[in-house]
Amino acid sequence: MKPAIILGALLGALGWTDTLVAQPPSGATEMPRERDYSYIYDMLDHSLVRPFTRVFDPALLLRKVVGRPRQAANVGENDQVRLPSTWWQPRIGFRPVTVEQMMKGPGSSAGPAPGKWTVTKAKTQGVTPGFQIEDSKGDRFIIKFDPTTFPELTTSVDVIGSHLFWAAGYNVPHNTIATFKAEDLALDKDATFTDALGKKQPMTPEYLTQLLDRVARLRDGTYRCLASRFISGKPLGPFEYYGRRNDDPEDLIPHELRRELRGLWTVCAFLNHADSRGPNSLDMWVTENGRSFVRHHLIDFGSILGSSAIGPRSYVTGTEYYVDFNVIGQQAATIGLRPFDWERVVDPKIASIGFVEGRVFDPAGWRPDYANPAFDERTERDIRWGAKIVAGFTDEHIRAAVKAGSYSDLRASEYLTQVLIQRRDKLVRHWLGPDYRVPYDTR
Amino acid sequence: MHFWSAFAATCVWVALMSIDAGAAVETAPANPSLLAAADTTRNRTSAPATEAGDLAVTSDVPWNPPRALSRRHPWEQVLQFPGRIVTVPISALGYTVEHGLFWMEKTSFVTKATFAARDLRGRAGLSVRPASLGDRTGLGGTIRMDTPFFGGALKNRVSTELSGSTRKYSGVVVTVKGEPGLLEYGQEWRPQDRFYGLGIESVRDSVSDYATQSQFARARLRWTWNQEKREEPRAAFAIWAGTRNVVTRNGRGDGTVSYHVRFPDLGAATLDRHVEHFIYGTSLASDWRVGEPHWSQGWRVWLSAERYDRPIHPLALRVGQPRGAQFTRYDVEVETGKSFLRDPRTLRLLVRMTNQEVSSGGDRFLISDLPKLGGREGLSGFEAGRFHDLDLLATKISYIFPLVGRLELDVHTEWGAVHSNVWEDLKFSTLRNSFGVALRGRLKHTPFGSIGVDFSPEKTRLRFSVGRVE
Repeated sequence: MKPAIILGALLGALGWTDTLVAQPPSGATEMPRERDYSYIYDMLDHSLVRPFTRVFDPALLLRKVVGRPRQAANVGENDQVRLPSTWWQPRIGFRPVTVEQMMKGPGSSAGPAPGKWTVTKAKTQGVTPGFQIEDSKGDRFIIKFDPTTFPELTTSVDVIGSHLFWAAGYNVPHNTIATFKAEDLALDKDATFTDALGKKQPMTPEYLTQLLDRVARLRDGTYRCLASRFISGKPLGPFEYYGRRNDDPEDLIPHELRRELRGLWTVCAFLNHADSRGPNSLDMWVTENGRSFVRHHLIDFGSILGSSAIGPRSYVTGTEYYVDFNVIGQQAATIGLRPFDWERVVDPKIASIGFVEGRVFDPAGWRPDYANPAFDERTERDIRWGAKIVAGFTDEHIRAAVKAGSYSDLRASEYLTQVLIQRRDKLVRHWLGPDYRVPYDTR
Repeated sequence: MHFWSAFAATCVWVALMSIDAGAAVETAPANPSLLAAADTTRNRTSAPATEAGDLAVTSDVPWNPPRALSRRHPWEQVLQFPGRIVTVPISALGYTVEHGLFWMEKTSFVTKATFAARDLRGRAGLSVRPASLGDRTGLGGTIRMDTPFFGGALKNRVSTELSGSTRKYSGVVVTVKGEPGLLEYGQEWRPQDRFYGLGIESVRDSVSDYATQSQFARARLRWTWNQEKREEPRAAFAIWAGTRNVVTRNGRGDGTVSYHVRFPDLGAATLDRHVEHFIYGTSLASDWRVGEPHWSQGWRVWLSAERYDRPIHPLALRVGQPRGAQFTRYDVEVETGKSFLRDPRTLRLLVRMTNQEVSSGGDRFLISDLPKLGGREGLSGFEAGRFHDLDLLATKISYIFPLVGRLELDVHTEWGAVHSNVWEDLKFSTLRNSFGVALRGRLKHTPFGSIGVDFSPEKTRLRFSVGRVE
């Protein structure tokens, strides 16, 4: 017995159990355990540890030398994602998606219904204040706000992101811009918030007033917010961009070998989603059509485009990782005399946009804030797959999505539209060539 | 040897033969027309097709391979096996760190600790921070007690700081703050500061140590302009006066000869003698530096003159008799910088000079009153307190450039010398040199920490700081 345990532990530590233990691809019957992981460790691991393990990985080195990277494992003969998938659905770029379909895509209804919003809980995670509500129809939403010094910055991009990522084929929450007056809010009798010491406290009207004091108010006395509809199902925590969820019998492909996640790089480059990391994802246990299973979502688009959730994105965003050994090496070798590409950018100085641009944007070299394991494994075929999705966005799609961000400054919406068109064109031209056309009629 | 050669050759052969063998799709041309196939549902093998044009999410059973795929092919795992064995201890460390961080995040440990520290400071006036006892003093901490519980004009006006370190350095300072005035009383015990003899030619083998026990009381008036404004010129002017008593004792360092043994003449003149001074002085600082994330343009100057005079009997802390030297110290520090490109690459020049005019009792000059070089005082690649003499000249040229958004590198060289009279004795050939590099973490407006190495012909020193980098 003991040798078996030791052998099992050793094999586990060496990562060999996947090879030896086959799991049947039957449907899930039991709900997988809810899980979470350290977000700081996630960043440290992918920024500092994994780059070294990749450099000293002889198998990876050999693959590089012979020019044979490991390709995505869930593609068919025509290099497309094998379907059905609980991660992704073929939409824009592969099928016609009208502007109207895109705008209704993430959810058929609008935001919270008019009438009293009952506050049930204050949002304790994230950098901006927020709370959870139940509208007059009983639908539940997460309410989030903009940083006071950057009105419209994060709420806009969260809505834009939900439409564009939905159209790209991913599962996302339904986000809308909403406004309310303080008197529209009612406190649920069991409403709670978590205090600074981590203790749950009953939410009082005074606390709600204090929370609203931290939020910018519009000229007419209303508050602008992002209303994010609760995703249906039971939350199981974030997924990771590598490995598998071992207690989900339908999760048999290591995530870094999934085309949908590798090819997501191109869509993230398009939308400057530098915060594309595991913690901004959510697995849900859903029961539909008599079947219970895990559905995988991308969430929290408050840090895409020009927003970093608490302010504008840095000029550096998208050009390097937080700790980028390649860039560090180049800079050290040239004692800093080589100018960074981002030093040529022009900041539009529009508070509601933050910082995002398309002129200096490098369609081949875009990087998230820190390395994403699925992106690291991407091959040219994965990128081109993602580029086809990006190519599917017409100017009208982009205009409509930006319009959903409800910018009060016309300059902002026009600038963002032009930037997105510019980034799309660069990506498509670079990865698919200047003559690429989507394989369906876009009229 | 033969075994490993054969093993490696076999691995390479197996690898080359089996890289994604069987994945026919891998060799498929990346032809846009082929890839343009719109009907991706064609690939379904284990589930019914959804309706064409159906854009909604599906609840169909997803496509999956017949068994769970491994993250690595067997040949890859074979190649990785030695590395995995070697890194088992690192993996164990990673596992521990991961779970430790997870626990901290889930319990909001940092938030709670910060909140508790703020609460403790707000209610009881207690706070803790790293000590500033100088180089070579070991790990140290300072407990500060403010007076939030006092009412009226004294609320938070009185503070007491207790410092201590693992090398048994200790100190206490009591401060009564006003605006622009300040009253201070302090005591300090420094048991093992290094002394190598006077002058720039002192040799490393003549190392000794000494201890000092001091107490002081002083009043200061200080006026400042624009101290909180980053982009405007800042200035400060101060005058002060007070009394100080110092006694030099034999050094307490293990395995180091005490200074009075190594330098008997100096020991005879100063060992165990209480020296009282009435000290008064003035300083002026003007700072025109601007820029972020590190200051990159402008200059600053600091001028100071301080007289160490005979004690005034009614004010004396211990004895009213002068047993030390009377002297005046003049300090000048000038720093300027110039940068280029958008993320500043900055060249900086720092010149610091100390000139002391001794009016009497030069033979009884205390070691602790001598300017010194080495460590943080200048010439960072040398041991702290490596060079002592009456006068000092130190220069530093730095080049700071960005590595990535959050990191920058500071490459610097320092040249300096100590002399009995810097105006007469200073020659280029007498300057000693050290150089170093420091990796600095930076936020949008300021660097937040650094770690670096400084080299000299005698020593290599590791330096780090958190918080006040510049």
